[in-house]
Amino acid sequence: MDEETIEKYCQALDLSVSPDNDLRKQAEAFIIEGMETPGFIAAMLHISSNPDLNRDRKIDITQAAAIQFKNIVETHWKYKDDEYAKEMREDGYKVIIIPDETKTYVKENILTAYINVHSEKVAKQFDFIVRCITKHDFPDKWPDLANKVKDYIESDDLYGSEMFVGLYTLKSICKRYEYEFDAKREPLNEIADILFPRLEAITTCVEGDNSDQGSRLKNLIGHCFYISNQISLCKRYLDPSMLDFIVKFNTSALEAEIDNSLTQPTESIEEIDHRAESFQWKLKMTAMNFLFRIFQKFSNPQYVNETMKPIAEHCINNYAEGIINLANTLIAKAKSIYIDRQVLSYCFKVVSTSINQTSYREMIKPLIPEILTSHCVPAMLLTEKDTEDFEADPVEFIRKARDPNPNIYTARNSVLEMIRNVTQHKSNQDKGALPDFLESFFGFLLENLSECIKQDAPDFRIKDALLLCLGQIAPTLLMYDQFHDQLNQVLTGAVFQDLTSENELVKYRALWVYGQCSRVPMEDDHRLEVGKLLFQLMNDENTAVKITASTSLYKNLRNNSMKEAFKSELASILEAYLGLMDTIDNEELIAGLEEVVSLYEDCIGPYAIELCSKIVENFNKITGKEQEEEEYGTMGMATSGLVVTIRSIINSCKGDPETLLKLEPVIFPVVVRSLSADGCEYLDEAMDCITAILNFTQSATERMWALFPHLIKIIVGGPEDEEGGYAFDYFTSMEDYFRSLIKYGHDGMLTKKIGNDPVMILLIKGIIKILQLVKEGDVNTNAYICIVIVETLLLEFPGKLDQLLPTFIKILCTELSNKEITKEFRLHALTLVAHCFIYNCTLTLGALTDLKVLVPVCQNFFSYLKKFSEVEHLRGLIYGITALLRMDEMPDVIKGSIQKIIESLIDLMRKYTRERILELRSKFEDKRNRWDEGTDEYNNLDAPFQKLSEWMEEYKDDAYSEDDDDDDNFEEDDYLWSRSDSCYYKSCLEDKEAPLFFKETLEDFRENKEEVYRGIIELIPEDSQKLLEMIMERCEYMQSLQS
Amino acid sequence: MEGSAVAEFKIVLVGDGATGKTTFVKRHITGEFEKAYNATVGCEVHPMPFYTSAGEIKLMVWDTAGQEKLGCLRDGYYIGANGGIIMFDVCARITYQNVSKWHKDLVRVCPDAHLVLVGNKVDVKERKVKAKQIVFHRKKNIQYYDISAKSNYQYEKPFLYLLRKMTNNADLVLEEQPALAPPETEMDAAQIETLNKELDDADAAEFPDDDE
Repeated sequence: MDEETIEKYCQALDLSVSPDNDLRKQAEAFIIEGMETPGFIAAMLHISSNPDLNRDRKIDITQAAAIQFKNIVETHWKYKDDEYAKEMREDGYKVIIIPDETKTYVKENILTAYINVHSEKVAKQFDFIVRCITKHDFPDKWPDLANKVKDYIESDDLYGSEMFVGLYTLKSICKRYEYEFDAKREPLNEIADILFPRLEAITTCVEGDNSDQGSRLKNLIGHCFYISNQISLCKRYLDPSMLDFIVKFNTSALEAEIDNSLTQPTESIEEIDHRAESFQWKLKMTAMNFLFRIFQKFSNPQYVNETMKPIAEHCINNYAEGIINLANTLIAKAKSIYIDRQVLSYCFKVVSTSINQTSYREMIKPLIPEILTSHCVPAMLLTEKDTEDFEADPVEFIRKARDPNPNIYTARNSVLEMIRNVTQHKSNQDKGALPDFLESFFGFLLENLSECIKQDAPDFRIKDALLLCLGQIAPTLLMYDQFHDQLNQVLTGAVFQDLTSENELVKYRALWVYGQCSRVPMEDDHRLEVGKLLFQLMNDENTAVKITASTSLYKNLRNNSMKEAFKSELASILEAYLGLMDTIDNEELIAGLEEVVSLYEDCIGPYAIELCSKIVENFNKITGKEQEEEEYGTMGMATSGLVVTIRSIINSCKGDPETLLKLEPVIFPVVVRSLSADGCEYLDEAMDCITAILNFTQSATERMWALFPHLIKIIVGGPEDEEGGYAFDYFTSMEDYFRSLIKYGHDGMLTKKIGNDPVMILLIKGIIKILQLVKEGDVNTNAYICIVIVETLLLEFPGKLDQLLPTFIKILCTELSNKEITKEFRLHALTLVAHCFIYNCTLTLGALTDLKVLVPVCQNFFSYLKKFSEVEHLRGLIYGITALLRMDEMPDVIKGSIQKIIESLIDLMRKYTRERILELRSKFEDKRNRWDEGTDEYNNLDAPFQKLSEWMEEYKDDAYSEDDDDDDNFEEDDYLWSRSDSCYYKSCLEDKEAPLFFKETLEDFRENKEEVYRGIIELIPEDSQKLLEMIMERCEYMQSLQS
Repeated sequence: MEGSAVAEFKIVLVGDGATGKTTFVKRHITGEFEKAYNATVGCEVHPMPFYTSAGEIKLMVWDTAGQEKLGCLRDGYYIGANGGIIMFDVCARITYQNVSKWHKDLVRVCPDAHLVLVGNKVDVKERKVKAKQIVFHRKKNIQYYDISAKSNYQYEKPFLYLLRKMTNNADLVLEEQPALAPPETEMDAAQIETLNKELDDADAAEFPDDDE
C-alpha cells in the first residue's frame, strides 16, 4: 500500500478519537469506507506494528489501527462467501468477505508484526486477533503455525518478544482444544509432542528466576500446561515421568521466593488489588490451580476411568504428600506474611479434600491439630473490605459470606468448609465415638473465647472468627450430649452479651451463632431473653442484622416454650418476614417463613389471606415472566418454598372453609403459573394447594372446574404430540386433584360441559389417550393413575355410570390382554375389576360376558389374589369379592370356585389386617412422640400403640409374612407405585375396615338368607375360623381407633 | 489539576443497544430528554461538568453505539479513556450476559481505566435480572449500581464513584447535585427500598473466566 494512503489512514485514526463530533465523524466515515477496500487490513497491520507512525499524533494510532484490525478479523473473518453472509446482510449487518489472499497475507505476517509491536496495549489486540484466526483456521488453513511457534520459542532470548509471542500463540492453540475430547483433541496431543519439550526445557532454564519477568514467562508456560491438561491429560503426560516434570514445575513455582513488597502483611484494599495483578502471585495461582486439579481430579481413583487408574496411583504415591505439605506450609506462612487469598483458599481446599479421601487421609491427619488451632482463626479475620461492605452494602456482605467462589480478599469460606469436613471426620465408626478432631477443636475455641472475655479491649475480629468456627461446628457438637452443657455455657457467657453490642458486626455474629445453636438445650428464661432480642433485632437498622435476626429467630421458635411465648407476636413476625422478603429474594428467609407458618399452624388463620397475597406477590417477583434455565437452580428452590408455605397456610385453615374460599382466588395465579410449561417444577406443591382447598371446603368452585380441561390438555398434548403434553410426566402429581374433584365436584362431573363434551367424557377420552401414550412410552405410573381415577368414578357415582361401565370394562380388558404389561400394572388393573364388582356385579359380569372374556378375566382375577399386598388393593378386593358373594345368582365360573374364593378372601383379610396394624401403629407412634412422656395425651396415644405393637410382634413369626413372589413377570425395576400418605382424597371404602364389611354381610345373611350363610360358613376351613375371629376382633378395635 | 484549569476526564459509556445509555447521559441538564429510541450511530460525546469539593471537573462522556451493526469503530473510541461505565438493562437478560464482552473489550483497550457496572431501568417493576443474579462485578472486582435513567434514581452514583477514583480522592463529594431533567417516573419509597436491598447470596449466571 502506498505511503499516501497509509498517511490518510493515520490521520483518520488520529481524528477518530477526537471529541469534536464533526472531525470525528469525517474520520469515521473514511475508515469505514476503507474497511471494504482490499488493502485495509494490510494497512492496519502495517500501522499497528510501526510505532514511528505515532510521531506528532494526538493519540496512539498504532493502538487505534490494531483495534480496527481486530474488529474486522473478529467480525468478518468467519464469512466465507456471499451466500454465507446473505442472511446477515438482510438483517442490516455489514458483512465484509475478506479475500483468501488477504487472509493468507495476514497469516503470513501477523506473527512478525506481533513481535514488533511496541506496546502492551497493541500486543493485547494482536493476541486476540491470533486467537480469533486460530479458532477459525488452525490447523487446516494455517498449517505452518505450529512450526512458526516452534521457531519463536526456540529463541535463545528467553525474555525476548519472539519468545512471548510464541508462547501467547501457543496458548491460543491450546485454548482452541481446551474443551475438545477424543479424536477432536488429537491435534493438541501432536502440538504437545512437538512443542512442549521446549517448554519443559525453558522451565528448567528459568527455574531460579523469580523476578516479575521470569514469573510472567513461567506463568504463560503454566497456563499452556493447565489449559492442555485440565479436562484430560495430554497423551504426553500419561507417561508418569513426564507428568512428574510438570508437577515439579508447578510445585517449584509455588515454593519460589517472592518479593518482600508483595508479602508484607496488608489489609489495604488497593494493595490487595495491586498484588492480585502481580505476575509473581499470578504464577503461584496458576500453579496452585494445576496442582489442585491433579490432586482432586486425577488422583482420585473414583473419578478416573480404567486407563487412568495407574496415573491416579502414581499421583497418590508421588505427589499427594508433597502437595499436602506445600499447602500446609503456605497455610502456616499466611500467619506471618501475606499469601494471596485465592492461593490460600486452595490450600485449605487441599486439606478438606484430603480428609475426605481415603488415600490421603493418613497423610493429612498429623497436620490437622496445628492447622485448626494455629492457622484457622488468622485466616478468618474480618478484613477492611468486610467492614466497608458491612457498612455500605450489608446485603452484599451477607451475599459474599455465602459465596463459594474464590475471593481476593479472604479465604474464609474455604477455611469454614475445611473446618466442617475435618471436625466431622470419624476414624472410629462406633455409634458413641466422637469425630477425631471435634472435641479438641471445641476445647480450643472455648479456651480462646474465655480469654477474649477476660481482656479489657479484645480485638473483636478474633472473637468474630472464633464464633464463626463455633457456629460452624455447632450442628456436629449437638449430635453429642456431652457437649450440650458447654455449648450452653459459652452462649450465656460469651455470646449473649454481644446481642446488645453497639458494634453492629458483633451483633450480627452473635445472632448468627444463636441461629446455629438453636437446638442447644438451655434454660427457658435465657432462651426467652434471647428470643426477645432476636425479635427486636428483626427491625434493626442494618439489613444484615435484620436478616440474620429473622433467620435465627425461626430456628429458635422450634423450641416449645419459645413458640408459646411468641405466639402473641405472630403478626409482627410475619410482617417482618414479609417486609424482608419484599425486598430480598433469599431462600433462607423463605424457609424461615415456611417454618413459622408450619409452627403456628393453629393460629395462622387470621393472617392467611394477607400472608398468601404477599407470598404470591413475592412469587410473581421471583418467577418474573421469562426465567431462563441457567438460573433455575436457586430460583426453583425459592419458588417451591413459597408454594409450600402457601400449602401450610391452607392446611392451617382446614377448619375454616370460608377463609379457604377467599384464599382460592388469591393463590390461583400460582397454580396457573405452575401449569405453564415453565412452571412444572413446582407443580407438585401447587396441585397440593388446590387439592387441599377442594378437600377442606368439600366443594369445587368454577375456577377448579376451569383448571380441568387445561390439565387434560397439558397432560395428553395435541394430536401431533407423540409423547403427550409437557405435563405428561407430572400426571402423578395431579392424581389427588382429579380424585378430589370427582368426589367434591359432585354431579358436576356428569352435568358440566366443556364445549360440547360433558366433563366426564373429556376425562375418559383423556384416560384413553394416556393409556395409549403409556403403551408407546414407558411411564407406567401414568397408567396406574388412570386406573385409580376410574375406580374413583365407580365409587363416587354409584348407580349413575351404568352406561359407561362397559366402556370401562373394555378399556380394562384391552389392558389385561396385553402380555407386555408388568405384574404391578396387572395388579392395579385387577383391582379395578374388584371396583367394577363393587359398583354392580351383575352389570360387570354381563359386560364381561358380552365381550366374551368372562372366564379368562375371572380366572386371571382369582389366580392373582395371592399376589396382592398393598392395603389399598386389598381393601378394594375384599369389598369386591364380598360384593360377589352378595349376588343372588352367581355365574358358574364363580360358583365352581367358591371354596377357593372364600379361602382367598380370608387370606386377603389376614394380609389386610396385618398391613393396617403396621400402618396404624406407625401413625400412633408418630402422634404419641409429639407429646412429652407421662402427659395424658402421651398415655392416651401410647395404649393403642402398645396394643398394636403386641399384635405386630405376632406377625413377626407369621409364616405368611413372606409373600411368595414367584411370578416370572415381575421385574425388579418395575416401579412400585402406591399412594402417598399425605393424599387428601379418601375413598368411601376407607370409612370402614374392609373385613367388617364381610362380617356385616355374613350377619345380614344369617338374619335374612340363612341358607347362604350356612353355605359360606361350611366353606370356611376349621383352622381358618379362629383366624377369622381374630381378624374381626382386631379390625373392630382398629375401627374404634379411627373414630 | 493546575491553577483554575478545569480537570477533564474521558469516560466511555458502553453496553448493548437500547439499554438506555443515551437517555442516561441526556438526563444531564445540558442535554435534552429523549423518549423515543434512536439508536446511536458510532458515538456521541457529551461534556458533563460536575462541581465537586475538589473543584469543577468536566467529564467527557462518550456515548457509544451498542448495536453491532451501527458500531462503526466500536472499541476504537475507548482509546485514552480514564473511566468506563458498562450499562445493561435489568429488563433484558441478554444485555447482562453481554456485559462480559463489553468488559473484555474495555480492559483490552484501557487496562487502567476505572470501571463501573450499572443496571438500568430498575424503575420497571418486573425486572428480569434480579440483584442476586448480578455477580459479574464481584468476579471482576468492579463497582456496581442499580440505576434508573428515567427516574434519576442513583443517577450521580456511577459518576461520583468514577470521580473519586480518577482523582484518587475518596472523600470527594459533589458540591452541587447535577442539574437533571425532571424525572419521568416517580419511584415510590418502597421501590427504592427494594432496590437498595434486593441483593442476596448468589451463585447465579456464570461468566467464562477471562484469562487473557
